[in-house]
Amino acid sequence: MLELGPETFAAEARQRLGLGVRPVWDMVALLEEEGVFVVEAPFESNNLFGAFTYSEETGPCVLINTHCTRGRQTTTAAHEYCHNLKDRERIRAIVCGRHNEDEEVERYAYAFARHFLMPREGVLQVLDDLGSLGGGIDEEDVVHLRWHFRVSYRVALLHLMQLGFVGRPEYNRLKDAGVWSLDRRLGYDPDEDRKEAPKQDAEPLRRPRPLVELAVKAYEGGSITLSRFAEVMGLDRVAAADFLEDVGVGLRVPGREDVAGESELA
Amino acid sequence: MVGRRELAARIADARERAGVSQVEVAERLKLPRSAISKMENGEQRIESLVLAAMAGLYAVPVASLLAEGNEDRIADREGLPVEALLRSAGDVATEDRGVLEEFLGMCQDYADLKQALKGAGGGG
Repeated sequence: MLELGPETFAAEARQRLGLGVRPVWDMVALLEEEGVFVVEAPFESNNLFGAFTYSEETGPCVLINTHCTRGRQTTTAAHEYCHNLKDRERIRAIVCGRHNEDEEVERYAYAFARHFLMPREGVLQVLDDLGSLGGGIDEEDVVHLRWHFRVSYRVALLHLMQLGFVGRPEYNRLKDAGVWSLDRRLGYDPDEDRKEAPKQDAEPLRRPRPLVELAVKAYEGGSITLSRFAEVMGLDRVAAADFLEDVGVGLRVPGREDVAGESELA
Repeated sequence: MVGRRELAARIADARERAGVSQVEVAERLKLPRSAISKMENGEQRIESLVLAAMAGLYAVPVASLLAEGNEDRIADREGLPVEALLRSAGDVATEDRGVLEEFLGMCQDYADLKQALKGAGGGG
């Protein structure tokens, strides 16, 4: 079967989702609406961007490295979305990062992500609004474009080059701009693009909201024990019991003292 | 051999499933309740006779509490392509391998919970 190019494939996906040329700022919400389980967590390394895995049992699951800028995270989410749409039967597990970015399947997913996040027509509209369609795109145009679509400066610039709006010499000239100072000068807040610090050793990863909601529902309905609830949440039993009480779920154990353990006896 | 923390979690889980309180267990085994609490938190070694008595009380085989193979909850999973994922990460730091394993654990937990709720007629 003939494989669609990434731009056509991305356009089809946008059309199916009824996105028009609108920017997609919350890719995680989009993935979740599409039935993908998403975990956002900071790796130690920011050379790993994300991961995708799929099995019949778990369905599609995506990990997004939050120790990357928010713009990078959005691109990663769109990239993993491509794996879900196109590769999940063939590639059931992949960690995406610098180490494999030149592999064909990865290059396709990066291209898909750019086209999905920044459809050609949408880019044209932004450049038209900026009065830059006649040529002479500068770093300020790239910054406006990046914030319109909430991607990184580099990804926006690369996309402009691949769409033919800037040539290689302009790309080389613009790629090392001081992005955060430009952001500030143009009225954007670079703090909104900041990455999260890596987690401390003992700290469990933040549980995604859908997992927390399911765990609470399962405990409340008697499908799981407090120990299992604590395990799912990455908490000890006392913290798990406190969490349940905080969200208004009564404990089912025979006595509250069973949860508290030794500390309350001291 | 099953580790202390895993065994602790298993006996706490078995007790809850049996609907018995720590106080009742302590009374039946003639031990302080604090000792039961410590055993369930992995802070105190569990003597084999105590373990056998607990198993009897909770109506579970001792072997099920000691069975190997459940300790590494990630490696045990059938559905997830764990090794493939870790291999594709390349030469990954220990901390990042830990993030990947925790991610896989959450994926499996999510699937298990959906299944449990489906089984209970609670949807998902």
